[in-house]
Amino acid sequence: MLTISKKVCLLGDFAVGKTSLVRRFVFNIFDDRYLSTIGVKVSRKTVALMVGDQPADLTIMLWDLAGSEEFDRIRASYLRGAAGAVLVCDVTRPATLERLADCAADLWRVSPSAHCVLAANKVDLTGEQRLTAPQIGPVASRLAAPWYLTSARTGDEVELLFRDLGLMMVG
Amino acid sequence: MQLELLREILFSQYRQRIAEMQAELDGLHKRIDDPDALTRTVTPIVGEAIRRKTRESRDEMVEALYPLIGQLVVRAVSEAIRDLARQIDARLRTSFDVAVAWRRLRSRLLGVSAAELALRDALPFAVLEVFLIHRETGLLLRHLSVQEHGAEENADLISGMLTAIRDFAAQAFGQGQEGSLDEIQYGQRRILVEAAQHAYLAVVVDGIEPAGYRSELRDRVVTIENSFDQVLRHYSGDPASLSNVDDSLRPLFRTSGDLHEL
Repeated sequence: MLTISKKVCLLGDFAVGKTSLVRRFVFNIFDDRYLSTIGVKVSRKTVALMVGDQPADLTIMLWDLAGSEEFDRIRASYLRGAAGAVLVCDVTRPATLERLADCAADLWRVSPSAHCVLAANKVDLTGEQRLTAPQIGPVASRLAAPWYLTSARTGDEVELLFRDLGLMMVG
Repeated sequence: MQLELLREILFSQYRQRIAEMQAELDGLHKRIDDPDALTRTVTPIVGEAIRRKTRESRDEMVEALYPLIGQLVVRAVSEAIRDLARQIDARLRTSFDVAVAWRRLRSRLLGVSAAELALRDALPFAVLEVFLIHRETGLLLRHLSVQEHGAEENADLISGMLTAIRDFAAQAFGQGQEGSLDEIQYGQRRILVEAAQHAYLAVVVDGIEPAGYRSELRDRVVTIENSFDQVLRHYSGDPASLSNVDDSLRPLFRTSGDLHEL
């Protein structure tokens, strides 16, 4: 059985729900406190996929990076060696989508070949949704990132997102 | 007779009250006179009273407790030192002359005093785990361990976080100077870190490492770096590309008993 590990960063503005989005889907042993103290927390996601005609276990080491300004300087170090990234925005706050272009730029400055996927999060808050497909689509395609409507509460699309990212990284 | 009746009428309401008060008084006496009962009454508030007192007049509390605490600490430390001395003593004594002569020989060869060697013997050095980690990504390359604990499944998470912590320390304390986080102490255990350009070794140890161990770690990681230069430079995430590295990592597991192989 082929086993491959890749580093993936979880990026996005403060309070877009990155951490709760992945919580259910990852294996985690560290306290959330690390996010506010050193600005990063590492957890693990395993994805089963095919590499060519071989079945493989892809282990994604997921680096959840704190979105707040105080960790701007250290973030470049944490972005090193990333094979992929999950860019997360909040559909109730359009500004968080614009921010993702900056996040991707920061990422590619340090890891130029990283593949991205975009998660438009909090779609369960249907009354407050202010971002729609016509707005998200163009931003995502500028970043060459497939995009997904996600909800930490319903778990919609999260497994799919990781599988697609996995395929992009090993392909 | 009339007087009695009068008294009865005037004081009957109070009689009830007096009886109740008498009962209360008896109860109180019981709680104060009996030491157990008194303790039970006072205990719940003592904690809060001390807390409040400490908050309000810390110096007073220190003054009051210092003599007591000082004595306690002295006693605990003396006992600990006595225990250690007893251990060392036992080793120096109960071992046969051969062992004593052997220690003296080792001491002369290694350039270390016999007493220090005896101390090292009393605090045995043991290597518990060895991690070989890819610097840029924090991905775990190899992990070897003496114990069967569940750390196996967490080894890659530990590698990731350790890498993040090293990055953080370099940023926070490095101030652009050369240097890196190369040792972490946690209780009795320490994590020794030696880094090459694309990979680093993190070794979890108990006790004091023998002279030269650090250099051996450094040599080892540099050798690995050079042997697997291409793989490490563009690491694909497949640990199978480094499988025979284990042979060079296994010798890093040592106990002080190893020195007999001199």
